[in-house]
Amino acid sequence: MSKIMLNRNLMVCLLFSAFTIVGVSPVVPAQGFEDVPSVQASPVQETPARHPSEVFPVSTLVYAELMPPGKLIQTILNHPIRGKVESLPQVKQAMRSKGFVGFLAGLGVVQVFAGMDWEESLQVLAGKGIAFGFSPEQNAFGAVLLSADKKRLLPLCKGLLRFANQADSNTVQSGKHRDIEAYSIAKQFFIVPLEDRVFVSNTKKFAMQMVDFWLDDDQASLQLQSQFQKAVATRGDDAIWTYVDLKSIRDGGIANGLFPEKMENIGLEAIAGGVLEALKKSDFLTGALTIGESGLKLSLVTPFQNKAISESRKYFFGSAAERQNFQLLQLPGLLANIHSFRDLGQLWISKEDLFDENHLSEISQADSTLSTLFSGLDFGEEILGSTKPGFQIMARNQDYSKILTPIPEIKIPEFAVVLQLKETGKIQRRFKIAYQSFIGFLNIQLAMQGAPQFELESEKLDGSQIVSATYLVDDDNEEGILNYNFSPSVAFAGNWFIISSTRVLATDLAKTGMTGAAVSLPEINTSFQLQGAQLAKILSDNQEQLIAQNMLEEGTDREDAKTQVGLILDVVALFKKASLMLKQEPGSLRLQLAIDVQGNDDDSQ
Amino acid sequence: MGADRVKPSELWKPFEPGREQPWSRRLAAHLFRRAGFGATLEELVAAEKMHPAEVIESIFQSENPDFASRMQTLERQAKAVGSVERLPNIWLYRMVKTSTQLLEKATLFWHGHFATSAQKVDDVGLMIGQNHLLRQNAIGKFGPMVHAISRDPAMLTYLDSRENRKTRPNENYARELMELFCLGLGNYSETDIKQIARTFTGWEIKKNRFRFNPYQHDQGLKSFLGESGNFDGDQAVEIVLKQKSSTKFIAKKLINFFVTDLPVSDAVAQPIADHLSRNDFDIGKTLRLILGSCYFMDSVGNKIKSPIELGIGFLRCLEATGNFVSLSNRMRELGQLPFFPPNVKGWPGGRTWINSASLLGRVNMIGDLLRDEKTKWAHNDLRGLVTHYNAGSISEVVEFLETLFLAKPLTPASRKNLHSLSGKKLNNEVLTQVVYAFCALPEFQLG
Repeated sequence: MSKIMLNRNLMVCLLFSAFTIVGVSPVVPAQGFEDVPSVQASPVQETPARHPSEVFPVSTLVYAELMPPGKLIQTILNHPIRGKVESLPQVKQAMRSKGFVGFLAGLGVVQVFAGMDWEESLQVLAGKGIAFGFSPEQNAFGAVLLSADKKRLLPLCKGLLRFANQADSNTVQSGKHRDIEAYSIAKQFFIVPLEDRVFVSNTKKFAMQMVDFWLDDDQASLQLQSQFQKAVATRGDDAIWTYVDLKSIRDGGIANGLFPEKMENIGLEAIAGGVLEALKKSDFLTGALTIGESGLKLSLVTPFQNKAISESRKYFFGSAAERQNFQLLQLPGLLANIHSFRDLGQLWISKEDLFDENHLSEISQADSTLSTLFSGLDFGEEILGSTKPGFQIMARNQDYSKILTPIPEIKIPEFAVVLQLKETGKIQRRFKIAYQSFIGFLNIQLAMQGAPQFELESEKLDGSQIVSATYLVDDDNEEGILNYNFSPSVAFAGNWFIISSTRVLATDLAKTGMTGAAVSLPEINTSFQLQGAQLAKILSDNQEQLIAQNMLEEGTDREDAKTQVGLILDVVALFKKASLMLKQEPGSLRLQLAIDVQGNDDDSQ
Repeated sequence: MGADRVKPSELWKPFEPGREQPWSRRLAAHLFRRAGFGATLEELVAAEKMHPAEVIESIFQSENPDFASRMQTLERQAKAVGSVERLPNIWLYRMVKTSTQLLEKATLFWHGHFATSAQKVDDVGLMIGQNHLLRQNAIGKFGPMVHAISRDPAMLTYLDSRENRKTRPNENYARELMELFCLGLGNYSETDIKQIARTFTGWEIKKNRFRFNPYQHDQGLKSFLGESGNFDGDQAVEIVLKQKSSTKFIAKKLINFFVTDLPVSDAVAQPIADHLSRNDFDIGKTLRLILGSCYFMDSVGNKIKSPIELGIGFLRCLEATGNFVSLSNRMRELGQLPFFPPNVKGWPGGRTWINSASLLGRVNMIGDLLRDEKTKWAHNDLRGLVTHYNAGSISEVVEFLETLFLAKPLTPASRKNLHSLSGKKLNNEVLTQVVYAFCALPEFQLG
């Protein structure tokens, strides 16, 4: 029984804090409110719209605004993806589950008490938006719900509180603060409806503080903080906007783990080392989320000065001239494309400053092995150091009509790493020898496993050289094995150096490299792009594998498995593109995630 | 009919229903449990209307080519991934879905007989190849199967016979051929092993295929099992199969697998051995004799269900399907993961299936299947299933389960326990409790 009551309380609190509630009689006067000095509320005047952040104290380290939520929810509910997702058997099953059915039943009851459906309730409660703040110092959060229908706000709140009280007798208590009616639910949530808004908090003190800040003009609120004002100045017309006070978080010793002195992982350092250092030196971070029928866009922005970055992490951002020199090969029809400005030679040389002792010893071991592979050349200085800053990684679905081996049962996209060498000539031969040694080593391993071995070939094409290894297939070899996805190759085209999983991709990239069709995107530090159509194709190419997996994991017959996999592919087909970019803008660093989907119209908000 | 009190020739007489032992749903369920993994109530009702001999004949049907082709697609995907861990999932799936239950049961029998573990072989293609070999010969003739298994790359890999040179003959296969596959202990000597090992020299596996290398074959005179000559491996197999003890050895193994866990005396096994002799080791004909005999029909409850029989039987009888990856994990814990027998002797079976830990594990497996959201029931859910069969009360549900699963009738105490849930509304939750409680009964463990 108590579990059921708790669930009901949660539902009410959910409605209060997210979509709100509030309420009323019959409620019990609470002792807790009576000890708050009663002050006559100032007569409320119609004033120009005030910023919701004015009710939060300066100790608020995380602040967020969602406004207005109605349109956002309508966008989600009416999106074609919703229908597709809901037709998935797994989702259908979840919607038939006891928990979900119980939730719907509970929602129905709430709607009866509210006297309107949940969407209308939401509009009345928070039709103009929601602001949220969190203060670790007070261990409290607060929310302000901005009503779109001031007249119906109080009756709705009362109805919802009646529901809460009926669900769990005496859970709702009332009191007064400065002659304003205030309520608590199970002494866990404190609610004050006032005019066209509702203040909600998990502590009484914070709730009353928000009311005081609203009624009095002279409070030192978050809104008046200059750092916050700078952040607000960057705010656009976003559905959700957030502000994080990084300086106070750092100064307060909160989340120290996020800002380590030295990294434990070379991969993490290469991906995020520079960003973490930038955050370490930044005062705040803002986030903005835009959602429309055509997809969503999330941006995280922080102030940034390149000169403030330490010498050991110069490899991450480089100078404007170096970034301008970072050239990118353009190839159509890619599944995924990553490019990143990183001076890998510089990273390797700075390892003592970047990594902790444990990881350094692992890197030293790798350094020694790699130096052996490269005929004793120093891996950091002479190998990585021979490349220009920046690299590209590309993945493309294979055209199996072009491969020289049988078609593999499981299709894996071909991929390549593209680098630019500082100079051509001797170093190219060094790379070629290292590649040949690597293939020779692989051949010994393959022979021991009884698997087909590689045959090396070298060809010259329009001034480029492609060295490739193809599986030598004879009648004894098994058909359809994974290995046939690979024909590891290297190519040299001008000063382009290409390492590819297939001969075909190496050749295409070498041809592109020789045409000089390269671009420079100096403002983009790092970019990752994934194309929906190509993703759908690779999943479709591997449909048999997905069907087999479905049959064994779901126990379905082939026809049912085929239908289920088909539905998943239909959902994937609605996905157009995803991109994640780290941009170096004047004075700021921006991380931007964009997901584009097929929508009815491109009607973003 | 106690095997010790009746003349052996009487034991194997064809069963004819009579007043003393009429043909019933429960007896049909016994036949389907032993010759397969269990039957649905609908199948039992249909079988009850037929003569037992007709039912037995019906279970000897060959595999539907469409189904076989779909299974090959699954196997091809496993081969493409290259992981032997996927193989048990596929076979368990096949056991539940196939309409040729006897064929799968017999294939499982031969898998335990010619035990080969993917753990060591570690090659999907080889293990699938052996599985096909066993299925192709499962209810055919034993001789060709032994010849084929002697050249099977998975078997030879498992027994370290990938290279068998005349200077150092590998005795593993020669030993197992006689001890475990054809004759049994005490029917050969160490000299016979050494001599037969020489006949298999030059039998190699190259690029995962059998190859005879004449340069490595010992061309000298070999003497074993009373015969001498320049024999090769095939001739050695023929000589082994000619031994009188071979038919009795196979007869006892068949009886132990299909009829009873109890020790089988020579006298009881002899008629079956004679039948094998007369019919050129025809396993299909012999199984017809065994399954249609009075002794078989009288052996209800003489076996303990193996984990596979327990889990697959549960799903089949209740017309359910589920997550075969999870089921494989359970089988591994319970010690009967297909493709992974514990050693060359296979699964010992019988009483070894049950101890305090495994009993709990067996009940937990049923609990998992009942609770897993991926377990799907015919007619939507358990409630729909029992409603379909007009079981509207706890006692009717218990009777329904009894017909499907129990070899021996419920004891009064067990029945009383189950009926303690009476009075509750028969929803899925209560039904789950009833089925779980039913499957936790000692009676449920008997096959």
